[in-house]
Amino acid sequence: MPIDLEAIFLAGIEQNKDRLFRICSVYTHDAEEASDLFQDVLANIWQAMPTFSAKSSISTWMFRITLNICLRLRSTQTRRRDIFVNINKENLENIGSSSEQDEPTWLLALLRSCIKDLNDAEKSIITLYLEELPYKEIAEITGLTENTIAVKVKRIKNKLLNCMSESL
Amino acid sequence: MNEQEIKNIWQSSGNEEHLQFDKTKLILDLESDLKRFRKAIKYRDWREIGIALLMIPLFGFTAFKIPFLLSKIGAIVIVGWCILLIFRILGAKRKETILPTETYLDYLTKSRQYLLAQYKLLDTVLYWYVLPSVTGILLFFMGFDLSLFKQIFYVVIVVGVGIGTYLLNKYAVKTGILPRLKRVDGILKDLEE
Repeated sequence: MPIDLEAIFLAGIEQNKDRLFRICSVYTHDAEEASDLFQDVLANIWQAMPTFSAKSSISTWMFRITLNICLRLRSTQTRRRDIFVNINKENLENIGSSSEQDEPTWLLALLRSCIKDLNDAEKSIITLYLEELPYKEIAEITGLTENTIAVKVKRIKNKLLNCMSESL
Repeated sequence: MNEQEIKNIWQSSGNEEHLQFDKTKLILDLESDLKRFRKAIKYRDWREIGIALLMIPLFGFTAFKIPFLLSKIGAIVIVGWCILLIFRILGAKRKETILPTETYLDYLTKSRQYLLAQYKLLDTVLYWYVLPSVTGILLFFMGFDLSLFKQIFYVVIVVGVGIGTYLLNKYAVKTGILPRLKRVDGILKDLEE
């Protein structure tokens, strides 16, 4: 891979890693699974780098891949916990341990649980919205129109607020 | 609780997750794994096609040379089956390319097309794989002057393998393809609403 693409990849990951990981976290049951999925996402982003053109921003492009990989209907062989374990074991372990122990647990856990109760289509839109992406960018990622996104966001937001309020 | 508070809670989780990358190791590991994965898929397809390509001249020549009529017909059926097999595998491979770089909607639509192609391929395995191969092989063996015991033995083995193949494929459709297809359909429906 050319050095400039490699640099774009690393810069893009550095800039978006937390956001991408948060998206992975709502498609999985625990932090360990989320880090597996995150590795899968990284692998796919890396693999797709040669096809990246500056038509969209690197962030939009990475979100698009992340969403598709999170959605991917995982079969038993795609559970690759051990495959990447030597990438950077201590760093990957940090993801799980820190997210489990240090985060403002109950509110975040509640929010994640409310998001997990949404269907896959709603999950994909609300996670992007919570990352404060503009409708235009969400539309670019999902392939839906901005109007559709706006309507859906309103509906999902209400569901989420209700779910949170009921549980508080 | 308001919307901004929810956003703050959501975004707070990443603050604790300090990821760092060992660039070289990451890249080497990913490259090596992806190559392995792609190789495995390619290997499976080309192995099937390779065996079929080997059998075509072998049974084609046998069909031409063998004096027994039933065996001759059997060999021709096997050649036809091998050709059909190659076309079916290549046909399904064409729908395999789903890039994760597509928009979510395109990705879903293409995933659906791919799953449908796989469903059709496996669900009709009886007609393009099991029946032609079992018929061809049985005819081929029946053409020889074999004892009744040997004939029964071959029939049981060949039909048994055929039934096993059919059931395995039906199981794969039921457990592997239909649930995924249902899920993709569900998401597409939710997005359209």
